[in-house]
Amino acid sequence: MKSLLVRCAMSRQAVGLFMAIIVAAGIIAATGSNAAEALSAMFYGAIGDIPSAVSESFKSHRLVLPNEPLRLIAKATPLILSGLAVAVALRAGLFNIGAEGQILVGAFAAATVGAAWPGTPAILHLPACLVAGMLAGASWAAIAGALKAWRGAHEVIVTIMLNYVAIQLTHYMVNGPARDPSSLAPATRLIQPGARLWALEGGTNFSAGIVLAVAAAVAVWHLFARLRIGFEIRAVGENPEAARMAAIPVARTMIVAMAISGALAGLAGAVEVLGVHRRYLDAFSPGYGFESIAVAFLGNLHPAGIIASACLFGGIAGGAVHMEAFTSTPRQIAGIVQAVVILAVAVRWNAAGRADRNARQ
Amino acid sequence: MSDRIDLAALAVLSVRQACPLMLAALGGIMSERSGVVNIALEGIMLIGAFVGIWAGQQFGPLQGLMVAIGAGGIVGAAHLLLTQRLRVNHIVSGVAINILALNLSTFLLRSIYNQADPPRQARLSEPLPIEWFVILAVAATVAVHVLLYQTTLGLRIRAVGESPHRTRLAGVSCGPLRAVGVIASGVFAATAGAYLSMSLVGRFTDDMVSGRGFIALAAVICGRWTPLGAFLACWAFGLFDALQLRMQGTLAMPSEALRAVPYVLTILVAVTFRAQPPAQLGSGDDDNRD
Repeated sequence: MKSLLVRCAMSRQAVGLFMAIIVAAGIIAATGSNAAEALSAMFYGAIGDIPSAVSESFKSHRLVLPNEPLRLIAKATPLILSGLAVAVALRAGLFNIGAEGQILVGAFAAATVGAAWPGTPAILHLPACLVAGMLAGASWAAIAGALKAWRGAHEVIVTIMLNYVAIQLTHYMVNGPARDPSSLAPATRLIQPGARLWALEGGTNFSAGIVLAVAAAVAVWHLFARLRIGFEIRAVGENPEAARMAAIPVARTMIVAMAISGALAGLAGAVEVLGVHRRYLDAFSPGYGFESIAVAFLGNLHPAGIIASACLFGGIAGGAVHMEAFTSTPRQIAGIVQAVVILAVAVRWNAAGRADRNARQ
Repeated sequence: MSDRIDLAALAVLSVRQACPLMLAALGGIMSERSGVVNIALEGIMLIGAFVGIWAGQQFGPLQGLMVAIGAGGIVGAAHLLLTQRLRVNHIVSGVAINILALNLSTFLLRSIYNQADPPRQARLSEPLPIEWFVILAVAATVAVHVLLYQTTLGLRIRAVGESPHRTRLAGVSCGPLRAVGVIASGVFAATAGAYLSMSLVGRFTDDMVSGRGFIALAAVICGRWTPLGAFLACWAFGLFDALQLRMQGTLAMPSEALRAVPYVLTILVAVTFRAQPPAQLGSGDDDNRD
């Protein structure tokens, strides 16, 4: 029997990752640094010194956890949510390049609601903030869905443009009307204690957001495996004409798919604000919206795969910061790895195209 | 500043700001007219900007410009290979090239120029004259217009974008035509990037293209995939940019609103005019046998 392990190891994802690491090593070596040293620094920065943590745990009879795995999960949290966002839209055949903008408006909405209403109990305030973030993201994305469905405007173009509109809009708000006058950097006021998402002290940024992210992954799995609307989304993505014949409301399904996608991205932004920064910081996203495209592809658009690939990219990002601090290699190597992974996974190496061409000649 | 806006200064500034958009937009037109979506303009501009400065320091400014253009052609060829031979989705390839270009250029800047003075900036001692690029942008616009509408090659390039299959039936092979379109696209985008770093600013800094590639893409759409239309759109966008730079603080409306104008306008154009892209935009080498 060809075991699952063998199939995983031979998968295009694994091969892509392997290629990406080789390319990264080559680039590091080409700039005159020690590639093995840099990559092992990256590895330890990603997952930490697990063996010594285990032996420490046995010696002291309590669980000792290095900070790195927590940091990895913290970095993976927004990537899981935004990766799910990209995947949901792609299942409907729509390319949501606008997760970045949806993250920003979602984060801003959550920060605004979070800073309002002092004294509201957490049981009301926190859900209100999360819902505000999701609604903001959903409506931002639904613009692109609606323009696509009703007017045929290409969603890639509209989401790219909406990204920049979101950047300018939040930049204006956080430097103007919504700015906290007591803050040195452009930021909104701190959120109320009742709006805070539980987070671990100590600078790992580990928060309860991961619970929300995993719950969202389960919900997306449920959506596509069990729910009618999930089936309709997939049908529209596979073949809009056939879906129309089957009496599926194509336009409405497209808009709903984009809204769900935007809600997930908005939730990613809300979690970053409520669990990590506690306020909206100008330009806080280091490009989660674009990384999420890589996450979705590497995860093969499947929720479990997206969690795994988000953790991988979270680890690479955290490891790269560690590597930059301890070796002379800049952390941008992480982005190079991502780009190569995207391409290696997206390439269709099989000869189908060639056979097809030969058949026609 | 006085209440009267200095119109001449504003015009000059708008041309300077519009010039990279025009060059990059021509790249977008060449690629998209041949049927290949190119959202990698942003990334190719960054590569052109970095390579131009680096090679300019090594071999002299003009040679540096040539190397930058060559690098743009190579990235264009990579996009071509990925989308046509390896059948990668055009958007995916473009996104990956953008991520790669941003990270690679910043990585190289930090690896090579970390000890530079000031650190993490690559400077050119004598920037190239801005006028060269302005003349080049205007001449290239006319050239692309003539190429697309007055020559057989241009007719064929447009035909590939509309229907590769019918073009093939007419006895014209699509591969070489798309190669011309996409490689030219890389060349134009890299020239635009080199203008930014080697001429307008005189140095390379992290992510210095900062969205201009996407504004150029917006101009392609607003100009409805024609060189002259895109030229006008770029000039209009350059004017907004110049207004925004000139009147910071003196204007009743926030500068962010002016900066958002090109994007909002593009969405409106995409919606209201139903701007029609080339019919088979985004197809692979063998897809879409209409």
